[in-house]
Amino acid sequence: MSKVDLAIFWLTCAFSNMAFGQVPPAGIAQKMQATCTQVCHGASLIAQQRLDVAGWTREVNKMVGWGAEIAGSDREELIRYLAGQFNNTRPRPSSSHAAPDGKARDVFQTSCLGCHDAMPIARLKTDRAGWARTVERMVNWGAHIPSGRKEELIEYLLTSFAQ
Amino acid sequence: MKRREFVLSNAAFLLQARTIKDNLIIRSDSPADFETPVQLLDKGWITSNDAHYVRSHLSVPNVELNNWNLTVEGEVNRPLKLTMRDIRGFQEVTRTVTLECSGNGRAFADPPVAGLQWEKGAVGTARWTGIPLRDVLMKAQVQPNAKHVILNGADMPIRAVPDFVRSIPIEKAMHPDTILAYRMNGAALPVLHGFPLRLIVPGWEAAASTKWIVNIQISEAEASGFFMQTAYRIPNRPIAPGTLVDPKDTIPYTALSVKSIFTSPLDGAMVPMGSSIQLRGFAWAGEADITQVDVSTDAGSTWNIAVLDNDKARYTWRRFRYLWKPPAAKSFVVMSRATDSQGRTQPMVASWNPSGYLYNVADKIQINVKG
Ligand code: HEC
Repeated sequence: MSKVDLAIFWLTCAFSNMAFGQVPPAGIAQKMQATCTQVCHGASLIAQQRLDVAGWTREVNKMVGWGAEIAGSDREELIRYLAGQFNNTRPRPSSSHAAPDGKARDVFQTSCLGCHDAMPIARLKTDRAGWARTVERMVNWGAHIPSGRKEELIEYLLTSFAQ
Repeated sequence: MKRREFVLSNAAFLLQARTIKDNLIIRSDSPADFETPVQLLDKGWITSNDAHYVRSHLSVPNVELNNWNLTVEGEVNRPLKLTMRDIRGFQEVTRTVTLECSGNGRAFADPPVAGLQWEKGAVGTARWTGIPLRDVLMKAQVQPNAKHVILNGADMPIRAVPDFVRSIPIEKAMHPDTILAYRMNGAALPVLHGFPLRLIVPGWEAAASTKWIVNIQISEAEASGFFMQTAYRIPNRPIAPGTLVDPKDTIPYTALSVKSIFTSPLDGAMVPMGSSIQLRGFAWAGEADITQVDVSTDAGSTWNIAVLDNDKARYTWRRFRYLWKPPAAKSFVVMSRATDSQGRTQPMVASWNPSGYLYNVADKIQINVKG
């Protein structure tokens, strides 16, 4: 492994640690990080899947085959968690869908509709601080907000999906 | 040879990558897998370097041109070790090519399949400048038993992750339109697109177009390994949605199928009653030519022939346009269906395969007309 790869590898893990620290129940975060991101990818690759137990079993086994380390019993717990969270009941991405007018519409379409559609967003009735927290959580899941446009996006969410 | 363009600093590389990233839908940050929003595809027949989709399998290598070489070995009489100066010494050619990731549209697979959930925009068209791969192979004097050309890039895996190594048959490699490219739309190849040298295999699913090339192996056999023997393969016969397929019942996915997408208006758009709107998008067919695009404004009951723009090249998409005046204030299901010179037409029902490749069902958007 070259120095660059090594750096990217650890960065990815650090990033994932942060990402998973927020959402899954205690314990699973570490297991998920250990298994799925040791072979070097971020949380967004997980967050966009819609698989059942068989599908997640195949994916986790593939990661283990590629060098991720996880004990047999932990593996089952992890697969149960993934299949419970990231399955076919999740809304599909819809980044080529029309969206309300507004300055940050382009950011909204590229940054917020790539993993799920606007349904969960339209359902969330919250204030500016609530939107800021949601955006932060999504960034931890792997959403990318173009440099310097976060405030604009929060404003857009607030006005387009008002309380 | 203009050397200056190759002396991009690391900082410039980072800035370039940042601009690309800010424009695109980030399916994965690392490996870099970014999709073009259809709104950006809509801007023109050529996709700009900042808007073209990005697909990588491993982390992006930072290649230093000073110690970069292309080695050519295997079933050849004269193994080669070429510098960029040597590469620039060959006859330069430019090919305009539409590249599409084989998983484009995977997000619509039903039942869902694992992988990057590309929607419509893992496709783009650029002018690629470089040299014919054939000229390099001729210089190396390929032996008569050679059947495949195996390509490897500078990108490297970690742990037990397989390296991204794929091969193309010698016939496609020797085709004068298959090129080693060092420019994209007139500019030095961006690092995310394979700096300093990438393969362009026109008309084929884009995983054949290896980036960051450092080694070419001429061989009697196909590349072994995951990315040739397991990935990028399709079932050799139709299968029921949701069925698993043994790799031995699959064949490599090569030439793209016939496909079209709307780029304007967007799905779910609201338009006022009484005005005409232009329904437009792109249609492509890999190695074949688009001969017709039909548009339906009544969910596929009746079809109208769309106008094709004049912009075209041997391996590119065609833009189609259809002017439509909505007859009522209600919601319409609008569809596009392309036909090509091989007589293929887009299916009305999506075929399914376990990896979500070659999704090419007739495109469908909803337009809401307000009275
Ligand atoms: C990388 C994938 C990804 C992207 C991109 C993404 N999300 Fe999410 N989103 C998720 C996941 C996973 C969940 C469910 C877990 C959770 O709620 O944390 C979710 C759930 C939500 C919810 C419902 C939960 C709640 O807090 O009410 C809202 C609202 C939401 N996202 C808004 C957004 C917004 C706004 C953006 C754009 C900044 C965005 N998402 C971008 C993955 C993503």
